[in-house]
Amino acid sequence: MHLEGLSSLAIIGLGKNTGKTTLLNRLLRENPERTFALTSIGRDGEETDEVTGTKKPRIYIPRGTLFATASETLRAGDVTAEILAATPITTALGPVVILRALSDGFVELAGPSRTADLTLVEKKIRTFEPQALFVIDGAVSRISAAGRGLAEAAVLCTGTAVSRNLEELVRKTQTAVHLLTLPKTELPEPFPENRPALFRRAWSPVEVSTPAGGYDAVRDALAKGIHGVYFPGAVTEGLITELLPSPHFRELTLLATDGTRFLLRERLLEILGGRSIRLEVLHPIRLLAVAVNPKDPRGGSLPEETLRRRLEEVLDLPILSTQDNTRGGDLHEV
Amino acid sequence: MKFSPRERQALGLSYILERLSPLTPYGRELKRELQPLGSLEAVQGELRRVDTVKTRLPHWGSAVDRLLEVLAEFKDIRGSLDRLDQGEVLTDLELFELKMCALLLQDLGVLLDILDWRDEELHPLPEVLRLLDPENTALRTFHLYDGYSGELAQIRKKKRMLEEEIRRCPEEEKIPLFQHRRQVVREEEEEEYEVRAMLSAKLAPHTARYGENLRALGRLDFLLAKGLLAREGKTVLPVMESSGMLELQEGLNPYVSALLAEQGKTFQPVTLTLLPGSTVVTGANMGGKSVTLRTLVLNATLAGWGILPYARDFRLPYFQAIFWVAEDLEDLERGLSSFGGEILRLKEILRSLGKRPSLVVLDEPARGTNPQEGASLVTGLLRYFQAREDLLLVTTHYEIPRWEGVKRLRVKGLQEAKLETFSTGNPQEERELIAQISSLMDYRLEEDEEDVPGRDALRIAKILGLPEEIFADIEINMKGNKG
Repeated sequence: MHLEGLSSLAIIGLGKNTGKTTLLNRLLRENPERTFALTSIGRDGEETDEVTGTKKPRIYIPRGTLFATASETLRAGDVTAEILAATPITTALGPVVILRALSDGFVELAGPSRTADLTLVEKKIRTFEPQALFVIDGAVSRISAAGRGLAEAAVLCTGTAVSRNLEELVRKTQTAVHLLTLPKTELPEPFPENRPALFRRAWSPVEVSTPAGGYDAVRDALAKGIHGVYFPGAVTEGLITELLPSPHFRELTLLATDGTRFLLRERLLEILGGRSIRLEVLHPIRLLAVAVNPKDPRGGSLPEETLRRRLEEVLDLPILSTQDNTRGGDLHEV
Repeated sequence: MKFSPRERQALGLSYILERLSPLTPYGRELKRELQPLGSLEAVQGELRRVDTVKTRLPHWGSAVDRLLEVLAEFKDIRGSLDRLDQGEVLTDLELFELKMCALLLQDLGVLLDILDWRDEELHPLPEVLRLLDPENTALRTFHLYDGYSGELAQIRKKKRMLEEEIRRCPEEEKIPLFQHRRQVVREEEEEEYEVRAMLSAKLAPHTARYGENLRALGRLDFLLAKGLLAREGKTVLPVMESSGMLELQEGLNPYVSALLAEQGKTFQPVTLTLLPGSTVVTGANMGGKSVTLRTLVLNATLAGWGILPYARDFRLPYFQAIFWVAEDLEDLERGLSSFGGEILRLKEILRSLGKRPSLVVLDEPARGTNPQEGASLVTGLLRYFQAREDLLLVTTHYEIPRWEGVKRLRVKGLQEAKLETFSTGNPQEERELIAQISSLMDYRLEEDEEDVPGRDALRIAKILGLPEEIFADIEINMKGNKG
């Protein structure tokens, strides 16, 4: 993968055990000339997955790597590290600290969960290492990091853990890629950016009484001549379901901040397509590649070659494999 | 002197305190614990220091911004100092924070030198810095340096060699190397613990000095905050003595001023003199008496707290306590319990009076009773205080007989001259009318030398358009009472 000229990258997992850590380890190993700065949204690199109980690979970093993590996770790592700064960002596991590895070693990452905090971390990191490649590790379902220009580019990790049925896996990955790479809208940016809005000749915000109060205010405000609907946060299936009854919810643009905000499955996307509703974003994501892990740690795997070929057929992107027993092997502890 | 949050709000104290912004956890704590200073010398000293900062601030220019930046960086490390005192072993992060704090104190020292600001209680901590920066790198980072322990250096060397082997060797051979490395990692962790224990033991003797520095830092931070606040309005260095009279010249109330400004009105500064003993104020409604009282109490309280008050001049005694009793709007519904509450409050006040003078400000005491009893109660209060060193200020509607020994003041009220050019019966918006009447009022206090029957209330009622017949009646009644 070409990392030259890239200053930040998001590794997005379509689910758990999709090989994000393996991919990261591989990136670290294959690019020794770059200085990396790592963090995660939430917690990653743990010994065993809290939910499935499967053994998870840990991140092995080379000497000189910078990383940002909650103070209490430092005990779990074994790298000799220098503390560079303690940020004011607090998490359940203590404040987020920025360190530099003085030896090679394993680390556990638990970074900030808010986009604003991630920006602060990157800024602070660059005061020590301006040219570092800032890598954010996180799941799609968590707050988007690749959106809002926080990371220049992203890699999507998928794999058998998402589905053991090959066609279903391909379809789900395809949908995810489609959503992540939605086009940038030609409509102007809505202001204020934190309220739903409707576009006629300009954006006008809609008052929604409570956040959980439902979007019937938006639905009721839909009328002929509305060309766009904007939502500042996640566009969930529940939200769409509330809008569907309106006869005016058709032939318009549905706008969100970035591709990670659309939490919709294929069926709903088909319905929207049937109504000529275009999905667009303010901040497009540059997806560099899709990494696939053919092995499910819970057991079972899919034939690697077939999987790659199918994905290459439907996606216009490089497909990487993060399989255990290739040279990109992860580093289990025995 | 402990005012409730509602009282603080009404007095305009909250408004001022919101604008007082220390930056360090230590300064903020001093603000939370704000109370009257313990002695006349202490208050005078603090007020003088605040005034000095206030005067020097414009000369310091942008160096102040740098100072504020440094202050904002300080974290609360007292938990770690306590742990050191208890013989506990600090974590890497705690050692890092201790080092950072010591470096910040150093930065602060440098800045204060530039500003020529002497603070005798801030001492550098060279031993702490030496311990936490043994190789004298002056870097603002920390880790357990190899230099702390030869053993540690060896272990890490072993670890590095293993890691280099791991990098070089083929995949299949990595596992035993990782296993060996695991062992070395454990050795490193154990030795690191020993180093941290050693450092913690060596740091423990310095906690007292460190703690003193932090307290000095808090005082400095708070002082600077007060100085910056003092520059935001027309503040003055008051003259405080152990007893005697109070003289407020053009006292201001920033909170009320802001409220009035929103309505397009201006605040009339408060000038008044109170001698030890009793003073009573009478005057029309809408006469601004309440604001006058609040402005007095506000500034007296601020001065007692070591914060510069808002006035052109202010001279006051060192008060043992300041009491303010005014109408609590909620009590209007409570009838007897309101009066009862008031009496109990008065009882408490009287019980608290001591050798040193207190300021007691009562806004319309006994307002809920009939005029005869009310007047008697107020008269009784005035007599009680008239020979004391305390300063009592009472406003009232009741008719209080005149006698030697009680100062009488009244609000000047409607300005005759302006009144003539005023209304000619144009029907106007009611709210506007009231606003306009306010502009005709002179809220200043003047001596009430002789009994001049109040007329302002009736005049105001007329302007506001109360029907003519009522006035015809009133004129007759007033003439009748005159006898």
